[in-house]
Amino acid sequence: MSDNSIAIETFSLTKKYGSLAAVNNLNLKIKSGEIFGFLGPNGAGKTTTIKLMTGLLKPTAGTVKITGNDIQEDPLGAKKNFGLIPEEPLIYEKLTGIEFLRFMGNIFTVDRKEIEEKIKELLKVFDLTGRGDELIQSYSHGMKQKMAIAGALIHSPKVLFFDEPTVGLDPRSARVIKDIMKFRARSGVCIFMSTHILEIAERICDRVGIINKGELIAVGNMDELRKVSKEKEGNLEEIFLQLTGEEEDIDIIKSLT
Amino acid sequence: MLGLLLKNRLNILFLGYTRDEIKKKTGRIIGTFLGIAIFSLILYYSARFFTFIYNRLDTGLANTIFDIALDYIFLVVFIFIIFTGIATSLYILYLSKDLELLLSLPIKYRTVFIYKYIEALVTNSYLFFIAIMPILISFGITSKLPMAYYPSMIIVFISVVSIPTSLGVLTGMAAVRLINPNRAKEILAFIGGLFGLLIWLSTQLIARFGENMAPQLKSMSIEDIKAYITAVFDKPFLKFFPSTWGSNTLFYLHNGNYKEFGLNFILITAVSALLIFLCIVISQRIYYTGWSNSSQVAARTGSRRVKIKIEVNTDEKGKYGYGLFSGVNYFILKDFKILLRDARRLLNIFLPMFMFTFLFFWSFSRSINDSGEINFFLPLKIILFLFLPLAIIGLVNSNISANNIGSEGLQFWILKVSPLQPKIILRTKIIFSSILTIFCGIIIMTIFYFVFKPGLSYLILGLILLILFSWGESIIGTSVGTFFPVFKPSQSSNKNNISFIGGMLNLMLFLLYILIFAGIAIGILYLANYLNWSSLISFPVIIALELILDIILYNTLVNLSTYRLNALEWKY
Repeated sequence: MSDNSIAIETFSLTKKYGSLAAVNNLNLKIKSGEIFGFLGPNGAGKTTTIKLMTGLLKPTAGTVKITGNDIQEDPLGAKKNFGLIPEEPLIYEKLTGIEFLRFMGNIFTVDRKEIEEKIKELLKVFDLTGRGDELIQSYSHGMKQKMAIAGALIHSPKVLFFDEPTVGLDPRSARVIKDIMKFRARSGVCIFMSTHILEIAERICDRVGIINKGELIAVGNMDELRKVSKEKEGNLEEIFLQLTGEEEDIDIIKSLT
Repeated sequence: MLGLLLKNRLNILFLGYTRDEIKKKTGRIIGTFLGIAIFSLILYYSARFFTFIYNRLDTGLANTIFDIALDYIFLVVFIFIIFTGIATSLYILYLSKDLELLLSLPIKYRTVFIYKYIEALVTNSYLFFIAIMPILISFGITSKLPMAYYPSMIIVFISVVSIPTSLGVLTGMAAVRLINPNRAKEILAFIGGLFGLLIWLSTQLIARFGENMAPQLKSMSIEDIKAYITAVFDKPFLKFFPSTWGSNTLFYLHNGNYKEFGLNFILITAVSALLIFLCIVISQRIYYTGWSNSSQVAARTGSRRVKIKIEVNTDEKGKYGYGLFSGVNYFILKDFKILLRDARRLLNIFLPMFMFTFLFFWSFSRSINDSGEINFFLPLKIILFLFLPLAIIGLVNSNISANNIGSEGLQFWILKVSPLQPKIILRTKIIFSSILTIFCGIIIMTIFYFVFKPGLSYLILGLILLILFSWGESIIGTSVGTFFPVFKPSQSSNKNNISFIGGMLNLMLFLLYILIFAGIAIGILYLANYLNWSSLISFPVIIALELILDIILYNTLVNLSTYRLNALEWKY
């Protein structure tokens, strides 16, 4: 594997809050065209990892490279090449959908003509045609989420970070997101996705990383994970529960039902 | 069930004092003590005031003053709550975060509505409770009124605040059927702000009126003064305001006129009860549907706009994002769009400007003409023309520029992940606040120009100084704002997007800057006068020195804040 094919690379990435390590010594290499699922229980460090990778947080130690550009040393080089879709669609509510997309296109220096074409295309894909000239504040949560995704896609990034991508979306939009991920990955885009929905991860991810209490406890494709977890026939849910030590929770749940 | 909801609300309030984050907890405790202190101070001083007017003035005159004062105090409260109350009601009835939970619980919608109504009533009136209750209590004590006065006082106060609250709630419920509650809230808050300005202007007029009348009143008899005050203030229209029924209730109780007391008491409480009843009845029909539809208002307008959009879309090219407004400049355009659509922020920016300008003319209007005669090394009017607009727009600018980064709100992450140099982002923010300030400054300077008539050469100098000053002040404000931003959950609606320390530092730096800026200009003008330089020499020297000052500021502060912006983490 040549270095050029590595889209995301972390070296001993660590983020500490006092004595608590939100992310500890994370080492990852994710290739272009790969869909990487990042799983973990609540508070495991998934969102913190994405924030570290995108430069929203400064690491206590370690580095992150996006398409070969160190996010701390060469932030602009790295930022040009990725798009981020945060868990909450926190976008400018006082802009209309179209204005927001133009804003995003402009700050990523997309060609003007291309911006207009992309806006039409994205609004159509996300079923927002006819709503683009309304203020975002009037949108529903799902529509805002779709607009945030459209904003991240407008500059055709080489890497896409999705933090819980399907939360708040209707089944059709969730399906569109999954299709977009697959389509983009096929054209060489690296997708880094954190999710709680194991079924999605199992179905579309090429590889999965499992993080628990800030530590990466397993990484690989389904077969590799089965080996690590010793769940030879298990699905991702069983592997996940086994690896994160939450199997005993199932007994508690059974006793409650 | 209502009791349970109220108990829960009180519990939340209590937990706010005991279990919340230390910063918020401390703020609440300080706020409460401040409220108690203000209440006590008003109680003490109003008691002294009533003792004074009833001991020193003729009783009839004191009664007339008290009657009219009470009428106007209640009237102001009444009208103020009508305007601000609509926005508050809309927020509490339609935008509170707990509504989704409450309306999904097995509680009658009517109960939820009453609970929310009580919340709106308390929110609308607690500040007036702190300000007015001590006045009424001290009046009762100093006039040695019977015990029946105190429960009547409370009932009257609740009635007086509940009537406008009910009217606000009814208007709010009707407004939500037409427009999105968020938008409605902003528009109505804007109207409320304008009303606040109107009240402020009225108080200034009354104060001026009092000033002018004071010498004449001295030579008038008590009866003439009473007749005069009654003729000026006791307007017939007041009788139709429910607030006057409230003030009359207390006044007649004080006078021992129990017939009038009873009549006014019944009137005010009956209207209050009737409106509350009306709110409850109407709410059963429209509250829940209004709430559930409010998020779909957009959908209705959306379907209506599809056709419009298709038509507009073809010739929309070039309207946004092109030419001047491309690339990073889109940041400035974005900020302008957001500002223009945020009625409350607009009000926060422009209201002080109008107030300061008005205040200046009000306070100095009589001496403006005389000032033309006062000469230092230059006529005073030229110095006033050059620097007073700067002081006013400086205050406006410090409000805009210091919030430049914080007002990004929870959308700050977009700025952080954008592939733009932090320095460029800061530059666009500085340009944004400079343009806005220069625009405001030109308006103020034009007004001042026609008042002071300093001559064309000073107008040109003034405009150039205005541009340089706006730039410098924007650099200071933006830099301080970058070091002390406060990211609020809702973007840009609140002007306090800078911490308290940041705000104080910004104010101090602003004062220092205007001192140095004005010092340079005045120093050179003085020197020019001393050395007999012409304007062609002195003006360019002033401009060059001010420019150097701004360049120094830009290179030091922007570089420092670039590091800060780079280091700011996004933890939300």
